Amino acid sequence: MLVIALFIALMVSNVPAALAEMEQGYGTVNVHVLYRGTVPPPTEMKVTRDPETCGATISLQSLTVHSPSDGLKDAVVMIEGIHSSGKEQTRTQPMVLSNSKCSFSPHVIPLQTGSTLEIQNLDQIMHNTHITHEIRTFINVAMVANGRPVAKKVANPGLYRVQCDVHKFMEGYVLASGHPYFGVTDERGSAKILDVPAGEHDISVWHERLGQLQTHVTVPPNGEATATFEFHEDGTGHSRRINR
Amino acid sequence: MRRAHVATAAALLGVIVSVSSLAQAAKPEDTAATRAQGQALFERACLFCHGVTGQGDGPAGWFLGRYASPRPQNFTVGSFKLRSTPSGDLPTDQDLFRTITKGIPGYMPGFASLPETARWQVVAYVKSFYPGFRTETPVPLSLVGAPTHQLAESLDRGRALYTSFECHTCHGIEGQGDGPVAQAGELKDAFGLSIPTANLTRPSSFKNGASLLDLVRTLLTGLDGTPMPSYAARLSDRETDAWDLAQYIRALSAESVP
Amino acid sequence: MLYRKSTLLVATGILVIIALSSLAMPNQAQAIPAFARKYEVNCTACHTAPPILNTYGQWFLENGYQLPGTEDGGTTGKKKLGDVTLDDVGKYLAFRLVGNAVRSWSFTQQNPAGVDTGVAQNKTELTFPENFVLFAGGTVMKNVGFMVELGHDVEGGGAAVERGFVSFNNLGAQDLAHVRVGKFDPSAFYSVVTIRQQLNEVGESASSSCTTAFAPCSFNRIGLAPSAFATKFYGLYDRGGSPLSPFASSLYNSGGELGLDVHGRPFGKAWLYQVGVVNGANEPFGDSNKGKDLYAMLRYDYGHSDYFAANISGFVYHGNSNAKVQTQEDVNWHRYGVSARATYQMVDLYAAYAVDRINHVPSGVSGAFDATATGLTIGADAYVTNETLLSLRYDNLDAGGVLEQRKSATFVGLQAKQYLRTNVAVFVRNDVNVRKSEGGETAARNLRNAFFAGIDIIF
Repeated sequence: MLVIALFIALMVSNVPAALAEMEQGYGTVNVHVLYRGTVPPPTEMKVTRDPETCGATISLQSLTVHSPSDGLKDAVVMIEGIHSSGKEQTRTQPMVLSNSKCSFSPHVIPLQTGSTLEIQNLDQIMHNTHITHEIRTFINVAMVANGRPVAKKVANPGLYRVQCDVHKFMEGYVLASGHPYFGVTDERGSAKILDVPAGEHDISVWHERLGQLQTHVTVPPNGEATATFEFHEDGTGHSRRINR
Repeated sequence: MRRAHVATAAALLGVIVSVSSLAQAAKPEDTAATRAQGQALFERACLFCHGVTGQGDGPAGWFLGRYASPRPQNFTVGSFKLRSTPSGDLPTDQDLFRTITKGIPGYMPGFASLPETARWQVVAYVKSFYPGFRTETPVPLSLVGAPTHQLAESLDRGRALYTSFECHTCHGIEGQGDGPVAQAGELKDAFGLSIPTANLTRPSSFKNGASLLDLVRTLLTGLDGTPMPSYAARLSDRETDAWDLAQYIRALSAESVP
Repeated sequence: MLYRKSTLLVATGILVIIALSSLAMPNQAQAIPAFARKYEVNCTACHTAPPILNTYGQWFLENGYQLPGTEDGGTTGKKKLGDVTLDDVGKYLAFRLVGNAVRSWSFTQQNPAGVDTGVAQNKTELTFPENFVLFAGGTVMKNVGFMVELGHDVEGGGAAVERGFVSFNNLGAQDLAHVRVGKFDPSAFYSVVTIRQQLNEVGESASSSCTTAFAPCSFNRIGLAPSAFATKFYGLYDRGGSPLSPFASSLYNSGGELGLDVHGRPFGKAWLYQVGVVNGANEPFGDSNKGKDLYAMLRYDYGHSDYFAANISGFVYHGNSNAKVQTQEDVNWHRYGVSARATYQMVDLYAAYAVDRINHVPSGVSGAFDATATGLTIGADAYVTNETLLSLRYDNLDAGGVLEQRKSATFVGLQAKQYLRTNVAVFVRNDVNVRKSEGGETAARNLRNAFFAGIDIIF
């Protein structure tokens, strides 16, 4: 009897919160990340190991900028200081990291903690996929040719660096988020974060070479907000926001 | 006669019971008191290299590798080289106990002379430097049975694996630690210090031990914080491969191994 | 002459063979002597740069050759034979060969005194490395350690037990009291240790008059050794009448004295005490001294993290009739010293200062004798690469003793040591006389420059 009473009390007490959430609603954040300035020429490196797979030289370009829009690819955008509200679906589907032609594909992987990272090797040579979270080893695994993929769940949020000790030029990143409100920019420098709870939020962008910028967006219920980030050649940057 | 049997059985039982109670008495509960006792020991025996905060920066720590790897273990990072667990996981208590007892050839003396209980107390204290030990439960990889092939066959298979696993890339074709990547000086540890490649013809210098079982464990787990990767995924396909490769690595040297 | 030449040839041959054989040694024999082999660690576990100890090595030494925090004497690295445990021979025997292979002196000729003054000369000698030391050390059982060092001085000839003692450790409680009995170096636990120097001691050259007992003695060339530890007085003799070199280490800083001393850390880990009694400096074996020399040392250690360690220490040494003057009268000779050392990553800085006093100047030399002398030694060692060690040392000797003989000296020495392997190093060194511009006809002034090249092998 007492239990039922308690249960009802709990239900009732939860109703206002649930109502508020419904009223509050969810919106979409459109993000544009731009790079203003000249793009430095790629670094050409002579390949000393496995040239038959990796090619005789490798061209490293950490800035992929769309012309003429100046959109910056592979920047990770993320809502800051937000916790999962429970409404949104979690984004914990497995993410695949491939060793392909002596590079990591995709180059930058954003994912939600709890997701499984699946590492595979498509090359006919051995790679070792060595992923570190700050200084701690996340995994360092030998990926022999034609071997099975290796999967490991990502439990802790933060930036993971992906390397191959045998091919020093190989580099990649995994950005693990504690919530599902993140995205990575496409060729045009655009990303879309869906189902963000309406209200005020901080939003940040991270790029492996250019660093981090942060701004503020107000997400309207069932509407869209836009945040634009600009990285500059001299290392500065700014951002603006538009709410619709 | 019958009485003698009973007496023997009783004695045996007594031995078994006393052994098991000894083992239990040796490993104390991980309590604040245990950690405090471990801390007292740590500060007498370990602080010189590992430092008071366990960051591997003790007053004598720099000289161990000077400008190169290894520096003394930094317990606050959560990466441990010598484990029985999958790559990236924390070591088990037994792993830490084994390292304290045996030491690391070239770099850390073994502390078998400390009473077993004292070593467990140090294990408890060392774990307190990294909060992950409170939330993660390290599970050792299951080590696969025993070698099944005849030695000659095992060596042939091991040699083929040594090639297909590209061990020579770092360790060299003859295993002397002079593979092309090692010679290029490209190998770094987690702290960016250049790290020498193990010379496989000198098993007495193997940090994770040189017995067949030690080698199989190293192949499965890799050495976290170094470029040595785990081959667990590949070796779980064909379990005997680990033993064959271990046999071959041992055969690279004329040194006798305990 | 022929003899000399063949000696040189043989010496060079042996040197080459030793150098080559050590190069051919397997990697892990890189460890220094016995202890490294016993515990299967590199020398860098205990040494900043051999023979200088880091804090871990310091505590290992204090603990009677047992790992700090343990009493492992009975078991580690030993084989069991019934109830007897034995080390492998290689785990308690070790060998060090060190010294200058080439010495080149630039000085003003003045032997006999007054002749050819002002003419700078160069003299280059090839010398067999001057010093072999054979060590045997370890533990015979829990808390009982021993060390024997058999030294061979090539120039002087002959072999002698430089040190040989037994230690009883952790008496009463852990680190309460460790006792050494035998012939030991009193300054083993001081911040700057006499027998652990990067710049080898180079002996003085005495004139021929010095062989007669209690005869006035002059020096052709001064010795190069830490001034803080030196005898500092001109015109002192041992009890047998042999002149004492003002440059040689003595008293508390002697390399080996017969006696007994006690050290420990009962007041927490930071404080080390040491008290001792020795036969007295300059005491020929078997002679009966009028009294024993007493000393006490206190040291404070700091070292927690950040690759940083520092310590400071001070001692009082009370000598009792431990030398004579030319008139064969006894002198009581005391020394008071402070020293400090700091190590941060690749850099090791140290300094030592000592004041020597002779109480009651004997009537035979009164008025012509300075009873106070001081010595200052400041040094730094730094690894500039993994294999290259640079050492710098400044020494100032404010000499005392017979006024008409004594001359103060100031030297700066710089050494570069290259480790070919962990246990084999070659070095070049140059010492400059800072006071050479003062000129003069004494040994302390006529030496301008000294260059050395040598080898240091340990296994």
